[in-house]
Amino acid sequence: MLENIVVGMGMVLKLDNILASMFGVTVGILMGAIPGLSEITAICLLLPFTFYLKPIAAIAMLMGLCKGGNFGGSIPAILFNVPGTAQAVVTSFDGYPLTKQGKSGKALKMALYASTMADTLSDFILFFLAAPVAAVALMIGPPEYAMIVLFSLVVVGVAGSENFVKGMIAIGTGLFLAVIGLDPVTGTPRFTFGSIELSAGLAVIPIVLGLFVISEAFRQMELILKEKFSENLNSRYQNQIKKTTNLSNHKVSLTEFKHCLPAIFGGVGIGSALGAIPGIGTTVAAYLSYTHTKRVSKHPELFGKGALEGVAAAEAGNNAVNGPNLIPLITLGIPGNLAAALILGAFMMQGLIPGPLFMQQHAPMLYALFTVLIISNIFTFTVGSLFVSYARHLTYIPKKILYPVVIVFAVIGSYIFRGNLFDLIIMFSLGVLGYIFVKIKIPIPPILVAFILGEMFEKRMRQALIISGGSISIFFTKPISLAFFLLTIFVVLFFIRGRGKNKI
Amino acid sequence: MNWFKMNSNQKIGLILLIFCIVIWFFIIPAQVAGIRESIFPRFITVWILISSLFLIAQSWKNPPKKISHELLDNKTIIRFIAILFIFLIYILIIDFLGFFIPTFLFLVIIMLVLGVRDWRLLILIPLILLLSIHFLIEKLLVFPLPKGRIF
Repeated sequence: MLENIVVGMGMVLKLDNILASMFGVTVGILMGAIPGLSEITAICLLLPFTFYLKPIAAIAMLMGLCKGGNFGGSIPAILFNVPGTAQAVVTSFDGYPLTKQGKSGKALKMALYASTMADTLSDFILFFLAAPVAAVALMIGPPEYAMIVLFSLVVVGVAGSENFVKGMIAIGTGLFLAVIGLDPVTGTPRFTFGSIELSAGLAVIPIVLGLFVISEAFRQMELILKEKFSENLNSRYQNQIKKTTNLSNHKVSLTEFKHCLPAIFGGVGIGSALGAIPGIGTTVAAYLSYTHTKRVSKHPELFGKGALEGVAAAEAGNNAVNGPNLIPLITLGIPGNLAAALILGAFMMQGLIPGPLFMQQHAPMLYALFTVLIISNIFTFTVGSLFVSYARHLTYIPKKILYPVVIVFAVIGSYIFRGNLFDLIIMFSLGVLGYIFVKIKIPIPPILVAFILGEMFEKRMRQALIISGGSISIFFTKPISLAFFLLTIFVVLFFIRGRGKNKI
Repeated sequence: MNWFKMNSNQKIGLILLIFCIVIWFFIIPAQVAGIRESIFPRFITVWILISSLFLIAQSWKNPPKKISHELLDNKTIIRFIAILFIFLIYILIIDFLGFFIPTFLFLVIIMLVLGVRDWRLLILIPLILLLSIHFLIEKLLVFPLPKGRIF
């Protein structure tokens, strides 16, 4: 193991990887900080370019984007009460009141300290847990694997939506997109409608860009046409600039930091535990961490009115998800949330298939990945510290200009991946699909997760059926596979009952 | 069932139901050869079918709260559909005119539709963007951008 660690670290500590990581973090923070762009947009837009990098540099850049963007998203949440990402909503509960009190620098710095600290601690959890989990994962065969994928698909679909049935529809849609192309076992074309382009199957990049970037651009442009949103934001922004020019109270003192430590550790515990389960994600973690800290706090009445602990708890909770989230990704090849799904896409583009065999074949890669995570945390901290001082002077880019430019970059990204103009049409179609799905409240992240897992799911399912000679009893007679099947049923029943009562 | 009396979830469920039937009886037999190859597509069809039945049944029991549709005036709707069409035409003419000319036109037209009226911005932003894309992506990183058939 020690040998693998040394080899893994050696693989990372090269100039190009470090530059890639630094570039990723910087771009991530900048894009996260622009109101209206998120770390997801950042990853989506740069994903095609990583295809041309070496595997480790590519992963380093994406991890950097992810972490930088995650922190960057809390900047507009704190300064303008416009959360760049869903998880940053919780940060704005106390971050924005602090800004109103003229303490924006303090809030931003606390967010940075809490998020990088929680992230680093959670990476160690990945470091210690991944190898044992992978050892167990090696014992599983096709039927077990198929059931584990089924379980994660159901969890991702159920957890990510207001209405679990709509999550299931999203999963079905994603699986359907994955089937288009050649049959993975026999190579006969399916759903190609005689088109040569479709027979190669749909690529991840145009799907990602369409579902998340183009559909978002459509939604935002619709809002601009209504001309409500941009005006509100503009006036709100101008108000804030006046208030934040008062430069007092922009440091976090040691006593304040010590005071926030329990909140950070609480966030790490909650975030890490939730992060290891696929599909739960950062928003829930941030919210639970925040409410937990509020409950145990001596001054719960201050929460929502500018409690520094609230910012620390929210940021620690959502960043602690990042490390453990990679455990199911590396050991089973199952992405826990959207960012992990995008990173899985990048792994696959590089020809690395995470899963039970990954640890055996590329053991140093895990430690390389761990080193990458730590390096990007260091960069997030340093670049973030530099950036916090200038964040107040962030220039507001009007959405009227921002979104057309974003579309152009999506077009470039979609094209350079395969050099194929047909991919642009795929991107456009999925953009329209994503736009409609959001309108009718079907969640879109499960579509991507299902698309990425679809081929593997089908392969394993059919391998299992070949082993059993066509009998589906193989899925219910093996203990691990039966256990996951029962877990799946349990999750579905739990959500039907729970959601039925609450009527969320 | 009267379409106009149904709530939004029932409509979605019904559309998906019809979609599943079309897939099962018409598209899978025509587009997927072999029984083994069609196991998984049929599995997905059943998955969506069950979900859509659930959706219909569920909204029967407790119908979703009516979403107060913000009234969009016709002008906004026409503009939005125009944006979709401009985007579609943009990606289609890239094949003929290459990357740069369509992109320039696309940016100018979309910004006009979105309400940018400052002509300096309308010219300068596409120009600066395209120049930086040319030098950064084409020259420095050497990624091929679409070449048109005409230019």
